[in-house]
Amino acid sequence: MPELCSSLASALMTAGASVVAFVQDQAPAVADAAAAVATELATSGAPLADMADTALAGKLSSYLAVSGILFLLGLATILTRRNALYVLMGVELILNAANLNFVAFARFGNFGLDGQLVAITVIVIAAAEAAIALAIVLRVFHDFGSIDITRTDSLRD
Amino acid sequence: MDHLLSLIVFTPLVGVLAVMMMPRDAKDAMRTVAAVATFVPLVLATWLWWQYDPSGVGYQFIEQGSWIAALGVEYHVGVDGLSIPLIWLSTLLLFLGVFASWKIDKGVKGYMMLLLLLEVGINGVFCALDFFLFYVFWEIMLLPMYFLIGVWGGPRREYAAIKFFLYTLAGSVLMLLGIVAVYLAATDLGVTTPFNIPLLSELISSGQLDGSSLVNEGTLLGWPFLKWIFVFFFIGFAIKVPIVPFHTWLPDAHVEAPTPISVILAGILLKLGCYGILRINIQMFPQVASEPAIAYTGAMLGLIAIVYGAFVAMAQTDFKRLVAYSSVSHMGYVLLGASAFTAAGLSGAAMQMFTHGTSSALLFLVVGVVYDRAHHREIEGFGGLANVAPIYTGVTTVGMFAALGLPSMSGFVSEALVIIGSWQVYPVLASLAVIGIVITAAFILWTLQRVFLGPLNEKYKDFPDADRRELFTMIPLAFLCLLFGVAPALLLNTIVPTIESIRNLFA
Amino acid sequence: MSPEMLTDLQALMPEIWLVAAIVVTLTADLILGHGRTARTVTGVVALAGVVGALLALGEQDTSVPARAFGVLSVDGYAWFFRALIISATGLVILYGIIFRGLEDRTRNEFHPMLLGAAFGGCLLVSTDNLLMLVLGMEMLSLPSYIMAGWQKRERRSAEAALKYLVYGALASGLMLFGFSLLYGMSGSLWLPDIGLAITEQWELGGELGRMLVVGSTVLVFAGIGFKVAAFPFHFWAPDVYEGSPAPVTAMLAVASKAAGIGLLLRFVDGAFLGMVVSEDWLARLGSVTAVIAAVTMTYGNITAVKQTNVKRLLAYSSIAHAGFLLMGVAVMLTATGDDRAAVETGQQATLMYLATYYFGTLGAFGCLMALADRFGAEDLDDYEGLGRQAPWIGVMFVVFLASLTGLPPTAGFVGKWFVFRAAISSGLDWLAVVAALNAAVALFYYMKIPVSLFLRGGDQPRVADVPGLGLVPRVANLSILVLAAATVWLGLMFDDLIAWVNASLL
Repeated sequence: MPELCSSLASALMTAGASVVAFVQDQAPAVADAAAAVATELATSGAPLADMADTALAGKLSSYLAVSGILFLLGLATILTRRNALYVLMGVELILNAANLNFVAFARFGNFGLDGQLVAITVIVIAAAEAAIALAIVLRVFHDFGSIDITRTDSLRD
Repeated sequence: MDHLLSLIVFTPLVGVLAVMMMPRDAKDAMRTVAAVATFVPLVLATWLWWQYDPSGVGYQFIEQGSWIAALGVEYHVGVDGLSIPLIWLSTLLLFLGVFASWKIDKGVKGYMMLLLLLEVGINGVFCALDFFLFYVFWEIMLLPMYFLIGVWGGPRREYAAIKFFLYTLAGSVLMLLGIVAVYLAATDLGVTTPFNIPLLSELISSGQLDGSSLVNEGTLLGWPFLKWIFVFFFIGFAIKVPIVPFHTWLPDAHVEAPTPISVILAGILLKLGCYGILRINIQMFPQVASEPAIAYTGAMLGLIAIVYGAFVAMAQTDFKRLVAYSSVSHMGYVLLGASAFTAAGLSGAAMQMFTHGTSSALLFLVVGVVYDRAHHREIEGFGGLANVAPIYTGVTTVGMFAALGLPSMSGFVSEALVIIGSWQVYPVLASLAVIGIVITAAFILWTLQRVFLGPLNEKYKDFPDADRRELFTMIPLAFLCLLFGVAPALLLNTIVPTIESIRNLFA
Repeated sequence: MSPEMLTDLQALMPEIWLVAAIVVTLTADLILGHGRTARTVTGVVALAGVVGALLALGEQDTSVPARAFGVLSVDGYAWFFRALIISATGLVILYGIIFRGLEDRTRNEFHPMLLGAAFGGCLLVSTDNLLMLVLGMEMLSLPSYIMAGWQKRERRSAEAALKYLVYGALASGLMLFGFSLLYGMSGSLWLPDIGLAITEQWELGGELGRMLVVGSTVLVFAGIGFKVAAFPFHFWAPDVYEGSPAPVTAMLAVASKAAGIGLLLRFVDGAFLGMVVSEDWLARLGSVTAVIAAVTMTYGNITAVKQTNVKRLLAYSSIAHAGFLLMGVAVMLTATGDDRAAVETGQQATLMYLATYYFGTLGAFGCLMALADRFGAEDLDDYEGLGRQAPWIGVMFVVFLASLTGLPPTAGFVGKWFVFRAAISSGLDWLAVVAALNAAVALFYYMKIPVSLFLRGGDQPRVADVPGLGLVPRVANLSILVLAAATVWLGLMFDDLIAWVNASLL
């Protein structure tokens, strides 16, 4: 599967490059928004308000910023890429963003272990999903000679 | 006979099951079973009419029992002077229809099953006194009719069947909206049987149910709630009648349908729309119906149908299409008479339903005979058939004279009643309706002359006269045309007391 | 083992039956190989698992809501959805056994997939814990992705699998991110707590708090909307329905959609209609849902009109039905404040609609598959005249289509009646009118199938009839007949159905 491997490698490389570019462009804005969300959660009536230490809210905000960036990156990848592998990687980014949220909230909100449990479960699910995904992608590549989701068009109106 | 009405309605269903069990090749056996399954309801319906007490008040032969308790739906049937003649007519026409279908050789099994199922729906609608039941029966007729036209019809059957289906369904969806709205308003009043037609009629006509619990102060977009519902029902029934802007499905359906189906369509199905207007629109919403503007619109639509239908019929070259348009014209009388709210007008409308049921059914049978022999229906293509087929011509003449309203024929009595009744209220419209009568007379006589009189078209010198089976289907109808022309009292005795009770709603 | 644990296990008996059947079929496949014996054994075991699960379900008493293992609700609501999902799976297994499109070599492995998906669906509809929701959702989705691509020789099947996978993974990712925000707001994985937190954020959280609520709700609804194929998350459905093997399509259209609806109602009820209700927020969410319902049904119906592939046509119509199902949800959300009766009206409407949709859709797919199997017919053109060649299937097809259209006296009419009634009684008159128009459009394209079956084509048999496979197809045809009879019966006698649905409300 040399074609597949090379497309995988190029996917990784372009993804890496676009991450850097995207973070440089958008990071400050996302970080600001995340800080606002964290402060908001900390000051409104939500359980987070129980936190005595507002310093914790500050720490939370940096985690939320990273997860927000991850989520946006994932979404951007999904929306702009037509290669099935990119899209699936974008989904992984979103899953990890969610995981980060769960863990950060659990830690800084003092919510107990629930959030971490979810994160671990999601990691396992993501692995299963990836296994299935790769099998299906391989089959599509075998049948269509491409894993461009716009070029698999035996089904359409 | 506590369950007389149920027996009339559901006997054909036994026939459906019996035909279903029979092998596909036992064609004559299936025809016989169908004949028996339609003959039994005819006998029962005759017994019903015999037993009916015209002087009694309200519905008779009532059967009532809980059906869907959670919604308050009941199995509730009953008849009055309005529905009895129509039930009898429908059982008769279905019985004759089976004989008229004797020669149909393609898919006899499916055909007979659908025909019998159709009868269940028709008689069910005439008996139902529960809205839910009414709607279910109403829709049961839809699919059999669709397939009867679509599978056994003429060359453009697919188009005609789909058109029929879509028009009818559009109407019944509107009707359904009306039923849901009335149901909701009734449940808000705490009524436990919110589909009970007599009860709802009482609540609405006494002003207790006005929809104020559903819409603000009982008005919606400037119109009273009840007026909306009235319009929904009216359009729903008007499509079935059909009243002029909604009539275009009718000629197509008639032309493409096989003869027996045309007979049933013209003889009975059109009456269902009229019956709905009388039973629901007028009896349930008397205040709305008698509003001058609404009543005048109704009369106007009736007049338009009469005149327009007659003119268009005159322009037809296809015999069957001509009869179809004459039906549009004749159904206009029902609306005109009903909109006058006079005793004569309403009785005339009710009687016209019956008389047109006999005369138009007869004419479609007549057309069927011609088409069977000649395989075309061009009026100009015939001529002088009276020379070779005197008996056939005689029967045809009876049907045509009944249709044009010749004195001593049944059509004369009902049309005269309608004109007299509406004259008292709308003299101008009534006098214009006379134009319709004149044109009808013109095109019918013209057709009679072109097809049956004059020199014999050489192509048809071997045109056989009507055979015994055909005469068996046509003679009873011709007899009825004469009978009720000479002795209209036989029919009016049943109808008039019910009409009087309807008129009391307006007093 | 403590007595509590025994009771809990008792509550899970249906699921245990399913899992046991998975284990046994997998083992049998390993030991017996792919031969005829193995196929018989796995088929029988899979069906036995479903029957056992249904019997176990039948023994459950849900009159008093209980919990199992803390996270699973054992209530009438869960019972209703589990019954639908498991019985639908049973029929799909039956369809799968006779369906020639599946290769014999892989038939054995097909059953564990189906059973696994059913298991996931059962978990999904019986929990109000986010973690369990995620697990159930994935347990349902992952086998479905594989099943969509089951036909190895069909390019279209591979494509369907890829599309389902990509969009499905995206949807569950979005939903999970939404869950993480909800978790942050409430500090809890439980829907009632989340409901409280949402209200609090909406009332007191200011601009940003509202944004958070809206954002997380949109994300979660995207995930659920994907499962039920609601606009604008529907776009996978036509391709996946057309490309997947017919039994899988039936599974997706019925069991998967039922699970999605079950999740949606529980989520809406738990998170938005909890103890503290923010009316302002609900009113907005309600009107948005109503609009989504209207757009979904209109889009599905209008696009269905121009389809020629019957499976694809049914796919679009199933999008339209999602719109009708959402009508009830919109009614729930527009119910004001503490008006529990109105909430129940909406819920009842959706459940009634779902139950009637179940019969119509499963039956329609059964007929579609029978025609595909016997005549290789897929397009409307292929269907011409088949009604006269196979009158029983043809007539039953008409019954199911009439039900899906909503014509009395079939079950579909009852379902439509309830959603219309709910919409009108809660002031969504415009939605009722849109739905009525949609019903007319639906009729137009549904009728194309009977037109092809009965009205078109010559009198001579046009397509060769493949001989039947013997006993099993007869059983399958019999099951379609039972569905048809149930469709008519429920259209006339639906008192028991109403009682059942009323006992299943949340």
